[in-house]
Amino acid sequence: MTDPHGIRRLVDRRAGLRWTHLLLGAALLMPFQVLASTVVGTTGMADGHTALVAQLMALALALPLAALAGLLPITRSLEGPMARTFCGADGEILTSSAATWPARRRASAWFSLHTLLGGATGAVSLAAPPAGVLLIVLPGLGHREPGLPWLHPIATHVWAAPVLGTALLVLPVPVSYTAGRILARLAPALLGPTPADRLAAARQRADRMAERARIARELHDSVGHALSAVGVQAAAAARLLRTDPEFAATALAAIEETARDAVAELDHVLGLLRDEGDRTAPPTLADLPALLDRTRAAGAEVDYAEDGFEPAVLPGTLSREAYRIVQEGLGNALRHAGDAPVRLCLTVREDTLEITLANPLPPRRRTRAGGGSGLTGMRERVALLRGSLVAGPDDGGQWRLTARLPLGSTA
Amino acid sequence: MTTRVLIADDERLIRSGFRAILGAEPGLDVVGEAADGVAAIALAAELRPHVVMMDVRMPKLTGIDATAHLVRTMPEPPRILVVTTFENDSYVYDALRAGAHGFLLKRARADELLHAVRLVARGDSLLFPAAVRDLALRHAPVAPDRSGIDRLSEREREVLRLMAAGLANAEIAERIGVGPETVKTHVARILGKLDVRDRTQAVIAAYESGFVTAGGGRRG
Repeated sequence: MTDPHGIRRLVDRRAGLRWTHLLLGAALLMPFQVLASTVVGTTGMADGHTALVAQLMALALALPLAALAGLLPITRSLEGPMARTFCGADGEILTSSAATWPARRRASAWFSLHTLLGGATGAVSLAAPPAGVLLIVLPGLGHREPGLPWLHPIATHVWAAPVLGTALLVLPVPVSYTAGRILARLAPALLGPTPADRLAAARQRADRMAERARIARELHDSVGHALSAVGVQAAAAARLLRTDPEFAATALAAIEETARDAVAELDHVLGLLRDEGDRTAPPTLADLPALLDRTRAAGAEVDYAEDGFEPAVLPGTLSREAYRIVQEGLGNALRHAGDAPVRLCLTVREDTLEITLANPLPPRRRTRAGGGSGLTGMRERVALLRGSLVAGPDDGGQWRLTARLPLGSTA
Repeated sequence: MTTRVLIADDERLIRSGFRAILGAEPGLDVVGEAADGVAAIALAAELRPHVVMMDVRMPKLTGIDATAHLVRTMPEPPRILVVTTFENDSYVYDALRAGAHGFLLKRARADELLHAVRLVARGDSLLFPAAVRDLALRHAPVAPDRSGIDRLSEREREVLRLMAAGLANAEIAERIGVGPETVKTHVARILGKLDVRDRTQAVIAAYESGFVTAGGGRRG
């Protein structure tokens, strides 16, 4: 489990991913920086200043250019997936193009922030360690000091140099950590849906649902009437079979035709309803934060912990199945346990993804120790993935689900 | 005497099926078929059937409006048996309040259908499936009017409760230990005190005033 208060978080995999993300930001800044440097150089703005100052002047010009570029709708479709993969943020991040101006402005702000913090982190990562090494060995160099301008003040306190040098050597770590945290914090706010977006999406969903409900109602009506007619004709035919066989024959013909037409209509409408449903892609563990949000919004308290878990590197099939398992588990917990806290833990260890979910059993125990049809289906699919699934009450009065899925098992 | 029946339903297969079932019975005679509410009213006036099997949902004029019209305008209106596909249809309740005398599901067995037609023709009993009970409660006014109920004697209230449970006069008589004539007198007095036309309306009043609830429980 990740220890939120330990020193490990500075150098764990999440920190590593965030550092990578920042370096990508630095890379994205480069075209703008180069352009700005050219302008600065050509116009002679930085004449008489040091190279560092010239670069900073170029940066001051590059960032507005980057912000302008960030206003393009496509920015979010580039930055969104990157943020999802690398930032380890809590909350929903959109990967679609930004359509509205408010969304584009927020994406631009994100891009500017990403490139700025990325550039800073990149610069520190490249410059500080070599300088640090130099300072560490400085006492040993004696008279062979390199004539670097910034060494002069330190030369007078040469025995302090190794201390400063060590600090510089590790400086990229806290810088990257802090910058990474800032970005992770802001990602959902700048790249996610606003309340207005959510409202619009919800309204659209509601309209779609209402339309499907209308179609379903009409079908129910029409099939109900058809079956009614069939029933009455069959009853009449049965009673008059011997006394009026002509009528019985006509009735049977009518029954046949009505039944056939009704099934044809069912076929057609079910096709309509099915098409509407299959348009969205099945969710993966990358969508886990949104699932946790929704579960908490539904009133359940979820204690989530993870260890060594990076949604980005998991194979698709595994990720989708793991999501379903978590979804089913949380759903059951919501239904049975009410507001007792649910503990969910996702661990990657020795090439296996382990999902554990535990919640206290409600006072009135349900006798379905084996779980319902949802669990049965899950067990089958987990078996196909060559994993294991154990679910049921443990001796601590908790209901516990443990699923183990080997990482290397899927194509 | 043969009971004359008019069938009003917009579906041809329903009409022909009911006609075949009723027509095969001695003592029952199908005198006409109507495919909409307007035709139903016209044929009822012209043919003077004893019973009308009235589908609720019909074009031009619904079964409810046709029922209300017949009950209001004819000096001796036919007994109206409302027929419906779906149990939860709120139209059914409206038809009953408009003056229909009973209701029947299209998916009823042929025997039940014949039984219903004969009962309604006799006017002796009610058909009150649980669904109507639920509908009655959903439509109960927010401020129930108990004035009519309050006028009833203790015995009359008992009889009303049993009527709401769907018991015929003979069954009520057995339940409370009096003769069937006595029960008839009680019923007549109840109809007068509640100011309603017939048993069906009396039972509706019982539900709407909150006097009877769905679980058969009593509120005073």
